[in-house]
Amino acid sequence: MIGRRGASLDELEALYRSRFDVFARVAASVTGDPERARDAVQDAFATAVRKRRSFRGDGPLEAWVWRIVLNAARSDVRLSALAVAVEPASPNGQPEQDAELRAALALLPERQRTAVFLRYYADLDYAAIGEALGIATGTVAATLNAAHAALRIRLEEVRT
Amino acid sequence: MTELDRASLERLLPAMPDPADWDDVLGRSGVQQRRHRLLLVLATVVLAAAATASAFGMRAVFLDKGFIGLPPVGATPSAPESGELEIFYRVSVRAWVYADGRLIWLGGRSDLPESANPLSTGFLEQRLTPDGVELLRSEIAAAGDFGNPDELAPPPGRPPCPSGVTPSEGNCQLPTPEPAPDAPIRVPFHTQIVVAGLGTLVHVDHARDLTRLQARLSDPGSWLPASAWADQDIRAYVATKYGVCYSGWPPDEPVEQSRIVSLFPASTRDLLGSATERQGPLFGSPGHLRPSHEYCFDATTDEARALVAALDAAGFRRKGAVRLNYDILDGGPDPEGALYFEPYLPHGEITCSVCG
Repeated sequence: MIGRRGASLDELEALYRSRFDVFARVAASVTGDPERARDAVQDAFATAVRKRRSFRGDGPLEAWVWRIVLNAARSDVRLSALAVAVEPASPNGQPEQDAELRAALALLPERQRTAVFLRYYADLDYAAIGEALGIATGTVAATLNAAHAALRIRLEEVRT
Repeated sequence: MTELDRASLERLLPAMPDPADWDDVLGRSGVQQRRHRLLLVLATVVLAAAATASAFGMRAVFLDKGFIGLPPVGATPSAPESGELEIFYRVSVRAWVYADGRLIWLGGRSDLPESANPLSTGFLEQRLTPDGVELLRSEIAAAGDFGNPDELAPPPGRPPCPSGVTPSEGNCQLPTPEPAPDAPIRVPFHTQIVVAGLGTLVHVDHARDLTRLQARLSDPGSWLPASAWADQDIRAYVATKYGVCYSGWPPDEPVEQSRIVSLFPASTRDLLGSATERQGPLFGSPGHLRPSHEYCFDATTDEARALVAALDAAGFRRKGAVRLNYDILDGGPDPEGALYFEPYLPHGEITCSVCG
């Protein structure tokens, strides 16, 4: 079967409007700053609009856009050379547990942390995560397993 | 156990300071401004066409075959007279794409029934829809990185070596090997792809992508959908005015204007004497390209016809199957110079239709 070619402007707009918040907040986990994350998402969607004819349709459009967004966010980190940390703007409810989880997530390698947010916050399946991160689907499972293991150990260390 | 549920993760992520803004995305992509511009141009075209048709009630005469030189009497010029250039490319064809949808092209496909002759198509015209222009633009925009023309791979410093001749023997250079299909590539100087608002395509991540783009631009009818075409029929492009230029020979050596003008028929000297000097196309061979010096003026179609008639009547020799040229003779066997006609394109420039 031949994959379809190109994405329409309407499809990209619908994706942007329905998922902007998810894109931007996950991007913030990469940039460490919500303003820069928003800027990265805006730039990434502008790139997607310009390059929409090159979308090959091998996987979901959203996964293709995630890859552009994450590249934009990482590029921003490289440009600013800032350390990345997940910082909530205003923690609410369960502050102690949130702080523990936040600290444990911040210690994960960037790919593992992003995989966690894509799976459990953005609700992407393994194939889409693989496309977004540029890794094989099998590697996604291994990455998430490693993240789980690291989080479990760190959370247990904190709580004992 | 880890608490990786959506609610927990959401609490850890910062809220966005500003809401979604799709217009900002379009602005950054360059699409929004272009759409507005296209709509404005389209409205202008529609109004102008309607006004012209109702005012004159004339029937247009379009040519279904290219021509070299001046159009047959009565041929309807391309409308509107001017246009905003959106895309220019030189691959195996040269093409100019305008915001009003006109796709004007030249060369490369002389096997077409619409070609002027076996050596040249002549200037031909088709019409895209605004979406068609956008599709073409997007195809190019997605191909690679843009910059200015100086970033194109430079021309070879020396001419290519003939078979069996080494570089040291022939002051020449061996051909550059073809890049691997997966290799990144600097766009070679003989390919030029320019998009308004983006600049010149200068770098492509994979050589095969450039090859594919060149093939697509050479024959957009092979991949653009039917909805991209307002009129896919090929017809001759008929200009409303012509650039007329003359120079001595060889053209890189400046020559006194009055000396050349004196060689033309007396009835044409006032007109030809009004030409102004300009730097023309590069002349010479690779490694030895030099600017040419020529004198040019603008002529209406009627003025150009009168000039052709005077030159023909005076026995001037026409030459060239690709462009209307005349040799300028002074009694000797070799020409003293040459005069040529080039049609003005809608963006207000002439091109060198015999240049590679």
